[in-house]
Parts: sequence; structure tokens; C-alpha cells
Amino acid sequence: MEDTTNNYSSPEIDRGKMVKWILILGVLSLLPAFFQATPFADYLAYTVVRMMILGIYAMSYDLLFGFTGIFSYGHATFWGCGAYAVAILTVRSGLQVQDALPGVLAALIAGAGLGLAMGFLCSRVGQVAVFLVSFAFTESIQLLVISDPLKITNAEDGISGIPRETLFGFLDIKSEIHFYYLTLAVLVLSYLVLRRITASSMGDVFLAIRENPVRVRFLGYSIRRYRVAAFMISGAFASLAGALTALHERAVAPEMFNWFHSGDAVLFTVLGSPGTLLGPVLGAAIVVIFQEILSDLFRNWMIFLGLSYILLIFFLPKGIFPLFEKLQDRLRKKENTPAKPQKA
Amino acid sequence: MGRGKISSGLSRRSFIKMSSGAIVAVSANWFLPRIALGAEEILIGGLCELSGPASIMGSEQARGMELAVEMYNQKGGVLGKKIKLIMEDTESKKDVGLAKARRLVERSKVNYLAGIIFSAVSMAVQQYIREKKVLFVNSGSGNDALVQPPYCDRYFFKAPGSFRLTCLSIREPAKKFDKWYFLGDDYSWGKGCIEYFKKSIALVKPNFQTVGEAYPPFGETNYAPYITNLMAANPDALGIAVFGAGWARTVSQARQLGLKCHIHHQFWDLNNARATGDAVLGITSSSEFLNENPKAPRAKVFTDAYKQKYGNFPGSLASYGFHTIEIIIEAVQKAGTTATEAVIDTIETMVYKDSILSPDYRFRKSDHQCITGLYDIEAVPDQKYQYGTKILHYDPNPTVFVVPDKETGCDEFMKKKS
Repeated sequence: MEDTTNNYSSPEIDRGKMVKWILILGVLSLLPAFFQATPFADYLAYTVVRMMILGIYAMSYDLLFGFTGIFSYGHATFWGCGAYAVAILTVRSGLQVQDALPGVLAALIAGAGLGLAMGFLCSRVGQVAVFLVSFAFTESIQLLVISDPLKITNAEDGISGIPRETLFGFLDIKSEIHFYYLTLAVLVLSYLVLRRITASSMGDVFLAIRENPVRVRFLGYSIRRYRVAAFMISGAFASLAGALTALHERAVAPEMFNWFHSGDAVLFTVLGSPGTLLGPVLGAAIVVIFQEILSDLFRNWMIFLGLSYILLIFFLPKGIFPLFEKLQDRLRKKENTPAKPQKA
Repeated sequence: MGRGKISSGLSRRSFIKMSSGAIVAVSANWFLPRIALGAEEILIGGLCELSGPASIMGSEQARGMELAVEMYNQKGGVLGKKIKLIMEDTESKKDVGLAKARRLVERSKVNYLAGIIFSAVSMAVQQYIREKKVLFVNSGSGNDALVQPPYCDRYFFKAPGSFRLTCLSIREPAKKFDKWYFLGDDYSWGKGCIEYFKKSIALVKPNFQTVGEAYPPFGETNYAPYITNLMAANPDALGIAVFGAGWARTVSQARQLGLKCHIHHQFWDLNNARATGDAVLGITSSSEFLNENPKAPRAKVFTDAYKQKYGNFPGSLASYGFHTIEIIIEAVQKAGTTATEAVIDTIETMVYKDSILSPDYRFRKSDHQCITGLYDIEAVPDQKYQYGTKILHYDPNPTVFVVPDKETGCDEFMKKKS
């Protein structure tokens, strides 16, 4: 008998989703105008850009951990690699590159390349070993950057003075507000691409590997190849986030490869809800907000930051995103519930 | 107890609602502008390494700054305005330091910035303040690269002396010892110090011998393997350029393992000496700050005030923090305005006669590097401080290794920007 159930939403719910997305994007687009009404427009724009960049970083990790079930602790490799790709090309290469595009493309290629390397190593070992191998890989890259054998990374001093002039040769991205809109566009595009990947047959295989790798192998799929692919795609997007950071901060340092940046990716994803893409974006935003608020209130704010995370994970073990889904469902039920008939 | 109840009477839903409300209420504070209230305050942004590998020294630097602000405010502030210090933690990281600098400048709207130990962090902030035209006085980095192109700038002043100059103090013990072993942190400062140790020794003893050198990673806890190697080389003297907790570790572990040769450290710090213990006695070193200094009588005033407030004596980083605030506030006082350009013009020409470091402390107009005296010292027992310093030699204006005024290459960066 034909299965009549399907996973596609009704036209009414699709319209609802579209309205929701238009509203969200509308609010995000209008935020800079709201910021201008405050005395610190640039700083607010800077903070929201940070959230969006970390959101891209978090989504990239969600593909690896949330969808494919790979608990890597080496995501900082891609982050740092993307940042340094931009910095080396624009400052250290001597090529006088002012436009951001070559650096961003170099970051994507480098990220995918490193993803291939890390994926090759990690796909051959068990889950616990993946953690150690990816961690060691990142530490090695950091030491390489610090030792600077090719004299291009400027060792532990890092690289400052990264130019941020144009994109595609004509789009001015110098001001904080213009860069805000660029980052918003990249965030949306990244989400759409990753959503497409996760909804595709490749995405189905990622999920299957996460749930039952043995069965996937028996079905004839090469788990290794798919895991490597996950690393490459994830690496490319994480490098993109790193590249945006380099353009945003105008400086890079070897600390970008440090293990706590890998930990950030895990934190954003777990806090937000793995396997949702948007959940980790939300997780990243919440972490930045917590950092801003707590550092205002306390000198030793990192203690309170840690406590906050413990509380959040304790009381919201599935992450924050399910809360929003529940709220959405409740609103939808209210709309769809017919009015009670009046008693005669 | 029902499913979802955290404790009797408190459901998970209630907890989430309460927490959300609390977060919104608290975060409203974020939107209250932390700007000078009706311009009645002068805001100084303090950027210090309050966590990370340099946290001990960064915290000390922060305390020195806070004491300076408190002492000025007790006298009524400056130009009829109170001074407010807003402290941020760089976490000893370049990206965080830069983010915090932005926070101070763009959100807290500080008038001036001060602080930072790590030169890498300072470099990132210097590039930023150049665009924002905010005065920044570095209070902890010895790296000369900060006052060379492309980092030197009209809006940036480097309050500590050049590390090249503090290396000159090795000339004193070099007169007596021929065979040297060097131990330096494995990063630019440590390596640079060893290079200038050698150049300094060569000035007084061209035929000295380097019997070995080693560069342990910054933050190393066990120096035993390095000390064993250096003992095998049988040097007459050991030159050390190790920062942070390694200062005490290298000296104390060296003596514990039986090293008998003379030790010279790149810089003197009282708190590090106290952490080292009696192993510190007899070592030679250099310092820009002495707790009791006949050439800078206010050093004792500062030392006693610090002891009264914090319960222990200040080290060199505390003195830099204190002194940096004085640089800014005294210039504001003399300029008669808080306007950045006028304050910069004043700092460039001012002589800080009552500085706690040395008399006639001032800055070079060509690159904004400070000119300060240098004390070659030897560690001796002291009843009051536990370990004191005997001055072997004082140089009011060491010029060896200093790039001549007209050759700094900073001219373009020093011009007033429209």
C-alpha cells in the first residue's frame, strides 16, 4: 500500500514559515537602523556581526557533530586556517591584494583541504580516537604557525593591519554597517547551502551514519568517504567564518588555533541543539550575549559564565532550539484550533 | 513530584520563565550608556591580562592603575573632574584584547586607553586606535617593534623602556665572567633578550664565550632538563630571560639542582624574588623601578600606599600601571583640557620630574618610546622587603642600541591626522 504520509508541510504552514523567515530577516536587516539611535551603533553592529560569524562557525560544526555524529575537537584548525589565509594573502604575500574575495576563496579551498586531511585521519579511527586525533591535529597546526618555517605567519605576534576595502572589486565593506550586511548575507547563504546538503540524499547518509554506522556499511555505503566529505564541507564553512573574522577584526593570532575555540564550537552546538543548524546559531548568539552581560557585572566573569552553561545544559539538555519549536507549535495550534461552539 | 519539576513547587517551565525574565532585566543594564556623566568624569580604559599566562603580572598592573586613580580622586581628580577606570581583561589573547579595546572605545566611550603586557596584543590594539584616534599608553611591553613602523603612531606611547636597554645591565657581571649560558622564553621577547644579552656582553668583553643556550616554552613548569644541560656546559654565569611564573621557577630550580654559577636575570621584580626565596640572593638584574629610590623619592610613597591598600609590596608591573595613569593625568592637568590632540602634544614635550621610576622621565617625539633611567642591581637581604636591591650602576639615559631620533622611520605615522 502506498505510504500516503509525507514529510512535506501543507501550503498554509509553508506560508507561515516564509512569513516567519521574512520577519526574522527583516528584523536583522533593520537592526543597524535601530543601532544608529543609540550612542554606540558601531559596537552593537560589531557584536551582532560577531554573533553571525560564530553562527556560521557553529553551523559548520553542527554538520559534523549534529548530523554526522563525529565528535571532533579540532574545529579551530579550520577557523584559524581561514583567518590566516586572508591575512597572508593580503598582508604577507606582497601581492597588494585589497579585495576580500581572493582571501575568502583561498580560505574556502584551504578549509576544504584541511578537512580532507583531518577527515582522512579521523575516518580511520574510533569515536574516542577522533577526539584525540583532531585535537592533536589542531595543536600541530598551531605549533607550525608559531614556528613559522616559511616566514609567512609572523610567528606568535600574528598579523595585524588586514585591509578591508571592497568585495568583488566594487562593494564597499569598509564600514561596520556595510560589513554587517555582508555577514548577514553570508550567514543566510551558508544556512541555505547547509540546509540543502542536510536535506539531500548525502544528508540522509550523514544522519544514517550518526544513527547506525554498521547498518550503513552493510547497505554498501563507504562510511569513510562520507565522513571525509563531512569534514571537507564542515571545514570549508568553518574557514569561511575564520576569513570573515580576519576581515572583521583586521588581525589574526596563533591563539585562533587554540583548543578553546574548538570547545566553543562544541558549546554552541550542544547549547543550541545539535542537528538543527539554527540551534547552534542561537547557541552562539546566547554565548556572546552572556559574555557581554556577565563581563559587565563581574570581574571574574568567566566563573559565572561556566556556571551559566552548566545550568543551561542541566535544565535544557536538548538545547535551546526545542524551546522555540515548542513555542512555534503552540502558536500554530492556537491558530488552527477552531473556536468552541457557543452553547445555545 | 511531577515530571519536569525541579523541586517541589518549581517546574522546569517556571524556572525557564524566571531565568529569562532575570536575563532580560539584567541585560537592560547593557543598554545604559557607560559614558561620562555629563562629561563630569574622565574615563580611562584599562586593558590588562587578568587571566591567562600573564595573569599574575597583569593583575598587579591593574592594581597599580587602580591605586593611581584612587590617589588622584582623593585629591579631587583633575580639572575638577573625577577619574573613572574601566578595566577589561585581555585574557592574554590578541583577539580578545582587540575586542575589549573596541568595547572600551565604542561602548564605554573612554577618553584614553592604558595597559597591556603582551606585545602581540598591543600591536593589534595599536592598529585599531590609529583608526579611532584614541590615545593609548602601553604599560607593560618591552618589545621595540611597537615603536617601529608600521606600529608606531601619534596616538601610541610606550611607557616601559626598551628591552634592549634592560639587557645592558648584563655588562656589570660580564666584567667578571667569561663563559655564559643563556636561557630564554621561546618567543620573540625571550629570543630578543638573549640576542641583546650577547651584544651587551660583547661591549665590555668582546671575547666572551657562549657555552650554550636554550629556549623553553613560555609557561614551562619544569626547567630541570634545561638546567641539567646547562650545568653540563659548565658556564661561569647564566643569563635568564624568562617571564611570568618562570622567573621564580628557573632561579629556584637552578639552585635546588646545585647550580653554583652566577645568575643574571633580564629584569628585577620584587614579588618574583619573594616567590623564589633565598635562591634569589646575589643575582644581578636590571630595573626601571625600585621600591625605595633616592633618585625618585615618590617611589616610596607609591610603595607604602600600595602596601596599605593591597597588603603586599608592589613589583615592577604595578609601578608601570601606576605610572601610566600618571603620564595621562599629569598631561591632562598641564594641557588644561581632556582633548586628545592637546594631551598628546603635551606628553610629547613634558618631562615627568616626579615620576616614580626615574627623574626626568619623558618620551621621544620621533617614536614615542620613553626615555628613562636604568638601574643595574644586585639582590640583597632586606628587613622590610625581604629582598632588596643594591644599586651597582645607574644610567640616566642609556642610548646604546637605541635607534637615533632621525632614523626611526616613524615620521609619517607621527603626523597629526585630519
